[in-house]
Amino acid sequence: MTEAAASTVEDLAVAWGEFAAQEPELAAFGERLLGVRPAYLATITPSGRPRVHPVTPVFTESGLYLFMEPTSPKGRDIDQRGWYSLHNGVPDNAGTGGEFSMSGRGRAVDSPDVRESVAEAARYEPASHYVLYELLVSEARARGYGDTPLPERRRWKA
Amino acid sequence: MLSWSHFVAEAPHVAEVFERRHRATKNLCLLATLRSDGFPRISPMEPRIFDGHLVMVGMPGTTKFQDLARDPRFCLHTATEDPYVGDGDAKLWGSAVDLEEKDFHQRFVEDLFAESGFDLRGREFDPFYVADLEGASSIELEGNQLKITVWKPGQGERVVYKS
Repeated sequence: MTEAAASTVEDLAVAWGEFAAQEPELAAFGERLLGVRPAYLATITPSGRPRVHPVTPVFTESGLYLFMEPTSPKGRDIDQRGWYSLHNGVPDNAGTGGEFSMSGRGRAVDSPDVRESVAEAARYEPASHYVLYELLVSEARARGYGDTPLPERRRWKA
Repeated sequence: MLSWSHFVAEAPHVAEVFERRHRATKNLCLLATLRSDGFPRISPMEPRIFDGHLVMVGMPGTTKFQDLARDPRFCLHTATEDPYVGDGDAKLWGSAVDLEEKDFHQRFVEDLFAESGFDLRGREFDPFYVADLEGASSIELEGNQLKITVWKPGQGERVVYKS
């Protein structure tokens, strides 16, 4: 990614809550699919190669977050390059149940208050040594193949 | 090129975890590629292991194949069903290589038809992607520890435990 493109992403990416306020139907579709089964986060390694990891996103009213081990390569990728893509887990290659994907910029979160609210919202108890990241959204997309109702607007860009 | 068969010889444990999870989810994996704007992209994919190669098969012309045509680097993760990875998980990374062997293509589609009934016999493939592997890892739960096995070409497998 060029520096200009990266700074555009940085300027435009918004918190999940802001995205949800702009596109509530698409956000609800995404939140439902991202919570059904483990989701997947793709990041970029130092060599520029894509890397993919299963993750368990946590939603609060304002944001979308991931807890990670402090040594996690995905955290290092986000610290160093920032941009990511997130895709819901799928049961098959036929698009059954629909697909939701989003991209944007991730950032580490140090605020103890935010951490406490995310830990309360999580469906599991995050270990005390985990580090917290927020995923800001610059684009989101819903796809389906006839078996699931889709939001009226299926694509959003910040 | 470091093909699937070379990988199995060098990294038998990671290969076993990948094959087990690959079978358990009827070949379903998640593929990460690079978009033209530099963002990563994730797409479901059902690669098949055939005659010493990991064949990266799918609908021609879709965005993931456009990505691979522009930049062949990929990462492939087995489909995770259990967030606590009770049955393990594996990922592979490398580059997609166009295997221009028409005989191989036709043997592959004969095998595909025999196994699944999906009939691509007589079809021309351009490209026909197989994986050139450059690294892999697996993760398993052993008691209260995570067993992480990492492979790099020529260096064998290395095991790390995390509590």
